[in-house]
Amino acid sequence: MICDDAAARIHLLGGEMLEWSDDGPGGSPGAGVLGELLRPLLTGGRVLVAGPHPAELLDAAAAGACELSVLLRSHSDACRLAEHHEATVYCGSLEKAAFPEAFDVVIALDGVERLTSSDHAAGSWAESLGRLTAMLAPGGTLVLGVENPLGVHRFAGDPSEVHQRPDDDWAAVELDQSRPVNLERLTDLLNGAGLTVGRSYAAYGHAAGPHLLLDVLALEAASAPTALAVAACVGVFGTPAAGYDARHLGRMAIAGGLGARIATRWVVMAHAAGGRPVTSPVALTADADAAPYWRLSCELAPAAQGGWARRARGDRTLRVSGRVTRTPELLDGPVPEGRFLAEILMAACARNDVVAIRELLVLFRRWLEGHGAGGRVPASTAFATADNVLFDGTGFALLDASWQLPGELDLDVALARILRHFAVRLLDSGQWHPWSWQVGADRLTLTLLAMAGGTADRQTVRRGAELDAEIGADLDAVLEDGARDGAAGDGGPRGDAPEGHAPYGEPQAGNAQAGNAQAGHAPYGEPQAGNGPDGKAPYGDVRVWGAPGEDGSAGNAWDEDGPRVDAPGRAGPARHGSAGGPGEWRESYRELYAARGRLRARLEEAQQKITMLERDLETSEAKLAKAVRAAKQAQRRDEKPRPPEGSRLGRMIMAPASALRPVRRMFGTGSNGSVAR
Amino acid sequence: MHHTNHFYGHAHIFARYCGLDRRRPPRINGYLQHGWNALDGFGPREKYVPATPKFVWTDTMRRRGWARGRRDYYPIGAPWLYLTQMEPPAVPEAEREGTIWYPFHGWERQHVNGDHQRLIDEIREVERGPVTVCLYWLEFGEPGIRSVYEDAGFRVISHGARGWMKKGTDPLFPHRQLAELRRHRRVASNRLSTAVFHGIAAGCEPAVYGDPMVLAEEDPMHGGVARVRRLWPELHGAEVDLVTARQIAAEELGVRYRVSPEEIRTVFGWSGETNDL
Repeated sequence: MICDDAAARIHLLGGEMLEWSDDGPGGSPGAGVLGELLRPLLTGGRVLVAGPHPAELLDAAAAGACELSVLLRSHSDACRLAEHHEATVYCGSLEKAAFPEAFDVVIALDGVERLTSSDHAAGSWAESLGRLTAMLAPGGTLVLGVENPLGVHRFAGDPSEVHQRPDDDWAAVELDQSRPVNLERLTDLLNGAGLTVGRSYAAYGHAAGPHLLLDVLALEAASAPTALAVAACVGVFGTPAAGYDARHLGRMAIAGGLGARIATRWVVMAHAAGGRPVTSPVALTADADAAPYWRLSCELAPAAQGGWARRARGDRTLRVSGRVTRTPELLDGPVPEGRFLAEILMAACARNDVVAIRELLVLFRRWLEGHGAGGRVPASTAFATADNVLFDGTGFALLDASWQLPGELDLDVALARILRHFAVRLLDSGQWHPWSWQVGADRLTLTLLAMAGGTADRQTVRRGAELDAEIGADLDAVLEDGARDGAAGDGGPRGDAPEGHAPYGEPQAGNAQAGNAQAGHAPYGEPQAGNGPDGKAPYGDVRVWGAPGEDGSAGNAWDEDGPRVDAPGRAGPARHGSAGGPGEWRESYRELYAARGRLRARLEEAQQKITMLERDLETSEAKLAKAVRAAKQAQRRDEKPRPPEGSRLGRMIMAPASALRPVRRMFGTGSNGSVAR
Repeated sequence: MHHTNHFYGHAHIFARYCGLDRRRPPRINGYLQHGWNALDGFGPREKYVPATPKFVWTDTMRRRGWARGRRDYYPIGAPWLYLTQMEPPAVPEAEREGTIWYPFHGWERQHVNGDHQRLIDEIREVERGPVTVCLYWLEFGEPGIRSVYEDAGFRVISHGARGWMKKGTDPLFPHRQLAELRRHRRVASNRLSTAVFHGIAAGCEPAVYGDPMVLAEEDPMHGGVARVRRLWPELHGAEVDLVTARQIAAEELGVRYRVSPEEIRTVFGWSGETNDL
């Protein structure tokens, strides 16, 4: 229940929706990279956040010394927000919104549709925009998110929505002609409202929010980074075929130069007269579904030699949990292109093309083998999962090499982990595959291992599964920490479900997220890393990293000669322990980790005891039941059958004649002849 | 037909509008909204048969209900609009005088807690001309309440009983209300309610003031008096801008949603054809 104090701090404007919430999956646009985008704006002044937004963004705004106001139509959302955030909360319909002062920054990343409550007939899209821009102070900035009605997500949507419209779909937006259908129209509308449009971004993302923002002008110079865009829009494993396969559609559109046209959303920065454009990055990307602790955002820029290059941004400290580490620097470098291994495998699975599967897996195993010698590979190879490896027709490349495990592994154990990771998702997807419907994840892993030409025995599969579970546990171990920070995953806890434990038949979004949440990503810097920045300014065409000094020390690392790729397999707490800062923290973390291990051991012990006691209980209960049965039988034997008094027909016969009269009358066979009347 | 369709003789109004026997309205294939509220025009917790139309006054009812997961709304405007259309005014504008005052009423299962004496003082302070107090039939039947208003020098009336489970329905209820409203220059209440909108539509100047009183166990889904006040602040006060008030009343009663007798007949299932489908 909502506390009265919070409710009292809300300014009710009129038209507030009482039994309503705009929160939830598919609700507000996930934080994704938006926090990074907004950071330079949230340094002070009066800020209005209009419509539902993820809590992380509000935290950032509050931390940035802003005078923060929030406008929501849902009363329960407003109460929840007032409880947890130091913000002035206004609740009601946009039509009723009136503020004492204009705002320096208005953030409406959710768009304008969900600002009007059911108490008011929404005006046109343009009218709503007009109301929003009217709240801007001279020189103020509007950050507006607009859903692209022709975005790639629309083609993969659930067609059942057409027949069973959801509760928030009371207004026919499709009839609103003022709703922008492309960026040019949106720009016109903003110009018409007296605003100058600064950067416009094409945003790619599924339910959990845009995870890729690309400046539309930069997109004219370079085609969108396809692999990243596909992963951001629909997830590598895709969704069960409800509509069109959005992965395929996205790839075709980008190849056809329509990258910005099929973006799921647009995000536009517009300035009122007298304002100065805020410097914002050309492109941003973030892990789709990693837990907040692991999450890294990167800047992207078109590379001189074509394609895109990436550089980790923000907090570049090493992330550690258990044996798993993540080194942000390893993300720096060109972004490889190609099709995800998972995509190719699933396309082949859908067509029973076992020959293609076998050929690809043999190639893949050979590529993995090349990372080590003598059947041993660096343990980090285990992160080369099917949703992290790209195949461009000739060779494989790792998309995200920042994930590491120390030590070495048997090649086939690493492969077993990778294939099991794929097998679980293939089975979860419910997609057609060439094997029996009875096949389970382990059996399928065994089959795939055999096809790849590796050691295919139960022992290897088991070790692969154990490795998978260990990695999953280490990744999850920080989940609670993240949640405590108030930065819990935008996609909800499901997205971070322990790998391989996702129940079958879960909604596809969950699966896709689970897929990426676990996307372990191996660290070896592979061939493409060699193409990395080598002294020359690689991104001459667009000034990516902003003004020099904009991000200080991190910038220096970037300018160093040669690829910043660390030797494979040597990463780990030991090597990074001397890196300074987080050393102590990591010590205490290790202690906690050990304590957790001890507790887990005790728990297992207790569970074993419980199992034994339960078994004992069952045995004694069975004995008891047997004894009772025997006793009853004996008793029955002893008793001689003796008919009870008045048994058989006796009772009926003994009934008085008066009682039987109605019965007789009913059957018309009265002996006294009274029925004749 | 649902028994609330008979409330206040609404079914009878539509029967007459469609040229049928006004004393015996046929069964309506759906639910009629029988009063104004800031929700979807129906009780927040009532259950309705799916795929059976709910004939509401305005599209706002549809939007609010839709957001609550309800469907099958069919706006047709308020029955009151049809009645006023069929009953041309008998009293010349110039002869209207005084105020008809509707103290907020409960209903058969919910009673109102409030101080009638304080309300009377407030009415005295504001109203200049003669005052007619119209009580709900429950309160009218209680001599205690009635005498409080009578002792204050007000004329006390009731428009009749709305009926319950089709028993005791007074089909002349709306006719009496219309006649009374057209005799008065002002309509007032301590809550924005159906009567106020009816009054505005009948040509009265509205006012909403005084202790709004508390309905026993009022459903929080309605949001209470405060929510209504925030949505229509223009209608609250002892003096209200008449042009604005008329616009709001036209919107709330659904002037632009009125339909023809032919359409009413088909959608109510009165044309005889729908039964064969």
